Amino acid sequence: MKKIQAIYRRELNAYFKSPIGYVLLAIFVFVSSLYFAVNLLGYYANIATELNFMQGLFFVLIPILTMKTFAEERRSGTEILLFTAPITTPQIVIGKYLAALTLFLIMTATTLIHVVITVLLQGTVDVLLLGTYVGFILSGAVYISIGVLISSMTSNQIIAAIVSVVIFIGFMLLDAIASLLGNFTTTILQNLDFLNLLSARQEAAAGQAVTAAVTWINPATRLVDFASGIFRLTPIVFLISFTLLFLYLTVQVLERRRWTQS
Amino acid sequence: MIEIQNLSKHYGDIIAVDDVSFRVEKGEILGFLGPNGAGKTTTMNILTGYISASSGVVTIDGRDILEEPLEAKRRIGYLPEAPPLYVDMTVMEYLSFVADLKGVPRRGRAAEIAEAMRLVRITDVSHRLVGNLSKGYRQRVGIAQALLGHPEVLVLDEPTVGLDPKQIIEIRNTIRDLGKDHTIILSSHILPEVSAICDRVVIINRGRIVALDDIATLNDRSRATREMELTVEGPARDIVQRLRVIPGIIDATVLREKDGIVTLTYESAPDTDVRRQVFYEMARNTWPILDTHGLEATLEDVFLQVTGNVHVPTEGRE
Repeated sequence: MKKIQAIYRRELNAYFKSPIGYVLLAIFVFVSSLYFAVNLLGYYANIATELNFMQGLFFVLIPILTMKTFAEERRSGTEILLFTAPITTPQIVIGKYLAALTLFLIMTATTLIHVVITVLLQGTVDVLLLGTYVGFILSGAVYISIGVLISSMTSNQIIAAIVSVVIFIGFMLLDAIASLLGNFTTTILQNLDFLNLLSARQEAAAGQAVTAAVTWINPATRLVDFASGIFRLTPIVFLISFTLLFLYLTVQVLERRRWTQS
Repeated sequence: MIEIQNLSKHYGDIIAVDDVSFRVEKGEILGFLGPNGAGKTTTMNILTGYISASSGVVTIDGRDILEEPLEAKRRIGYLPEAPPLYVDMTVMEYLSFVADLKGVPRRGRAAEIAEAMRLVRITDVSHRLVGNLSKGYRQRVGIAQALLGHPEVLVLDEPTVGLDPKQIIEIRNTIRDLGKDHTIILSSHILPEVSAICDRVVIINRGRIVALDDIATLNDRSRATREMELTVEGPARDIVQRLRVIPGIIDATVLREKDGIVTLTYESAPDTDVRRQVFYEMARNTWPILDTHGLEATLEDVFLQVTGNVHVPTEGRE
């Protein structure tokens, strides 16, 4: 635990020793406040929609947050210090992950000012908003774990950032990709099935199954319930498992690299 | 203290380390010598647990680096080829972080860091950013880092490379001091450096051990003759003739001649000292000796001797 703390503290400090921490906070506060202020001028400000809007910016914000984590250590040769110290790889990964998550939570916390303003202006703050916050934080947690994984795969932080952006855009388009893949499956089955072994209904069902599977994987699907104020255990477990899976993969990538190359 | 058995490392088809075995006893300073690309860094990276070997076993104080990595790593302080420094931290912050990593208890931690800084003489830069330090200071911060946590074993990869002569002497003295209560493996491609510090030496070439000896034996083996350089004012041809008749001198060769000043080398049998005869011979002919000194065996000499090879490879992967 002390070892994790050491990594965590160094990592969190490092965000604020380079411009990255400040730049991220500045972008986040500026954009979210602008969104809030513009809505306020229109006499209707909804913090839930503000958070959804900010979530749309994850695909740029999270890669900036995570690109350095392992890529920079590898490039500068400091990873050798971590890997030859009496500390395990999972401890290193968790420490670094928690540091990135903390900065993300600090960013999220800045929007609480908007909540306060809303209350002061006699607006309503309800359970829907709470649900939106939970969803926002959980999806941020998943995205960060993916960003950390990508960073562990390269020694170039720019490449880490670009690959993360591409993957996150892929996630955003996953709904469209899901129905596309479903239709594609149906069409292929129809064309292959010249003996008419399958009924048209079965072919359509196969396509729908593919769509459903891709939708199931999509973390965004899980967020719908939160936004409508429904707290169920399943999506929470799902998103946390997703995060743990990517952190586990990060550990594997780091360990494997030391087994295969220098 | 350190035991390496049949260590090999392959990178695809390239064999970086080939069946290397040796032991380092407690309190010993072992020199690890070889040209660039011989496999020194790879071996050191394996024995500190940074990368894995393709085959073979490394134990530190009886603990296998793969089976009990935490216990083994706790016993090692490692200075890699490039000191692993975070340029955005001050020296103090960096050393505190390393102390945390190594699990140095809070109580007595400040004293331990202060002691490490004192040993390598970086106390005066403790509040400066690592990124702003000169290469010599960075190297010393790297050594200080290795000392934290009181490891019994120090692994130093080319600790003096890139330093200026004054710094090299300082670092060598520091290492010699540390050798009093540490077991040290030190890599280098400079023979005089190793012979100045180490008790014993392992010479590695193309991933294989080619010699494993104590320094004295190695120096004797490294050449069949003793070679001296001599600068005299006088006629070159006569001087060489005179030298050759001195009993014990095997050969004399003129290196250069300018304005009546001759620089030449002469070889004698390793167990005979002909310096006095040479002096009197030159004095008798009134040829003043301006300079004379023994020539150190170079790594190449040793290599030629131990490998029987004519060519010292300097390329390849390290």
